[in-house]
Amino acid sequence: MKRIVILITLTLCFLTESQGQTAKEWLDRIDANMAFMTAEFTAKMTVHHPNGQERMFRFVSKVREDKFALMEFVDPPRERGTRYLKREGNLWIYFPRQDRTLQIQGHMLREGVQGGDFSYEDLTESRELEEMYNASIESETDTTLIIFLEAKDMTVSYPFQLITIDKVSSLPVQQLYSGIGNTPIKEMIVLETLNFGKRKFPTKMEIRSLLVDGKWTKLEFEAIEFGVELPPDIFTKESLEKKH
Amino acid sequence: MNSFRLARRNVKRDSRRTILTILAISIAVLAVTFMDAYLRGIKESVLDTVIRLESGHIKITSSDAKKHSRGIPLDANIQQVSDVLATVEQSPYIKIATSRIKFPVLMDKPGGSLPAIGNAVQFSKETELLEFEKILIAGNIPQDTSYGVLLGEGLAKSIQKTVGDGLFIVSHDAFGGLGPGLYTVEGIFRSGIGIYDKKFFYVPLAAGQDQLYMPDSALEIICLVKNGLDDSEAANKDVQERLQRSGRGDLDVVPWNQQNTMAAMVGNMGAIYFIMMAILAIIALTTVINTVTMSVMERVKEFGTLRALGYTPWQVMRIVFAESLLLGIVGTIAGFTVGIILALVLQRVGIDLSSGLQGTDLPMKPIIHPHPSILTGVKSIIYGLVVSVIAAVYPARVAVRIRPAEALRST
Repeated sequence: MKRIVILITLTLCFLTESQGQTAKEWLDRIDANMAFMTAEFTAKMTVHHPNGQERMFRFVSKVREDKFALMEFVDPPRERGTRYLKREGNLWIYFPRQDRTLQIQGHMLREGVQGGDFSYEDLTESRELEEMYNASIESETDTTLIIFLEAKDMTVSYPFQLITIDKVSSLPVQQLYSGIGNTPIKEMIVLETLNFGKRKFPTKMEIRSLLVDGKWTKLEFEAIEFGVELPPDIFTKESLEKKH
Repeated sequence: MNSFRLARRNVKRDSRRTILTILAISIAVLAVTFMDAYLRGIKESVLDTVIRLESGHIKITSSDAKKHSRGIPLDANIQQVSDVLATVEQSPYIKIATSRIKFPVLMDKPGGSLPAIGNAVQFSKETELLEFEKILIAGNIPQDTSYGVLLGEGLAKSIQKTVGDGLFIVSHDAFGGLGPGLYTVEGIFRSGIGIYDKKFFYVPLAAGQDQLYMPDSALEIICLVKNGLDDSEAANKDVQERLQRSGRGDLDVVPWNQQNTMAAMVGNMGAIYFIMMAILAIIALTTVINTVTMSVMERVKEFGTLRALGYTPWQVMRIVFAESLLLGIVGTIAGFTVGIILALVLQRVGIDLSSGLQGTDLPMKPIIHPHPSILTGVKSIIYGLVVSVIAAVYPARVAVRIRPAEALRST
């Protein structure tokens, strides 16, 4: 009897350790798929409001290592020339009509970009998932895997996440973001992924608020180029405030 | 002998006690007369201020706005507001109809940020409502087409801005995005209402609409009715019907007294008035009961004699009531005369509460003008007479219970 108890205990310990490693491995795979040195892309963001109104934005973004980004809105005309500079965790917005720059900080970082469902913090967060969360496998099928993430530090935007991963592409296909108390806040669904050489990358996604009925944001990458040459002085405030 | 003649003779007997009783009734009636006029003045001041600044006689909002229990719902706005205004202005009841947008902002100030409340208004239409000419203390009132801002005095001090300075404001627009606005401080106002002077600023409606991404939209339409409060219900109904007919059933039309803040405020004032009147009545009653009872107790032998001479308990009771009523009539006339003169003088001069109101958020003018009315007179006279009659009940019962034999035996 004693032997059986020891055997079960050892098996459970082994399984737990094995699952933890597997979840970590999957996170590493996602991070590897999504990570890049430099990229330039044009994207279209559609924000659907509960009152039925929709606003479409188009922006061009230059990114280096997830830590530096310069984003410029080209559409609609009202937003044309508005630029966002992300630099080592800080975010500034330049408003061309007023020729003024505003640093987004504190609680404002958790508000939606252009009233949409992607927050400024979503844009500025550059740490890898594995660094911020403890991961465990929730369930698994032949084609998908669900990983539960629990934040190591509860001050992050989403203390809990549930990620459904496509085993073939090693990309998340669905992501449920939850707040303190594991209350779901929003849900992201990947609608399309494309191959860029050996890399698979989500190019169309929709994020839906679970707190406000009828509110969602769709993001479509219209053009993406990885490994582009970016001048060293591009991610500076001078560049942000440069007039065309 | 006639009860009143007996009563008149009795009140003359002890002039000190009579004066004391008349004084008690006079003071109570004076206080009632003055307080009625004073509270009426406060109520009118609060009503006038809230109607001009917040509620109008009628307020029109999007029916979606009531779904938001907190905050300022910029997304629940009135679209094609110029068409709505045109419809509203056709109503024969409406004197002024103007669009407004209230929006919260965070302003930069040395050492941090400061929450403030912006108000986008049509300055040219707000003359009678917001009375900018009266409250402006520096600079000018911005033009409707400008990007000028009018700052509350306290707010201007907090953010260290003065006339001519630039002011960059970022707020949320109607879609929840960031709405930046660059303005020039054109004027500074002092309204005397704490929250308005410390937190509020005004910008032209067109500039606000641009900043908040609300083209031809507003958060509310404030209406003043030609005949004021008297016609507000009828005006409300008329405007509602006109909007329905023009296909704008998506809007709520609410009269001033059905807007939550106003109803609560007026309700509280009624309760305060009732409590004050009750306290004054108790003070007057106890004094009058005391003096009339003393008068009765001192005349036990006299009442005993009257009973022995064949006076019925009812006739004795009438003498006591007549005595009290006589004192009440004199006291009421004296108290009402002094009270009404005081109220009329202060109606002209005004009572300056500015030092007391400084820093408070009470929506009222710093100078209160008591407003006596015919109703004030009627109330005070009834009050004085009723108090003196009620005060006689106990002494009258004492007088009736006096037994003639015992009374005549007493020394």
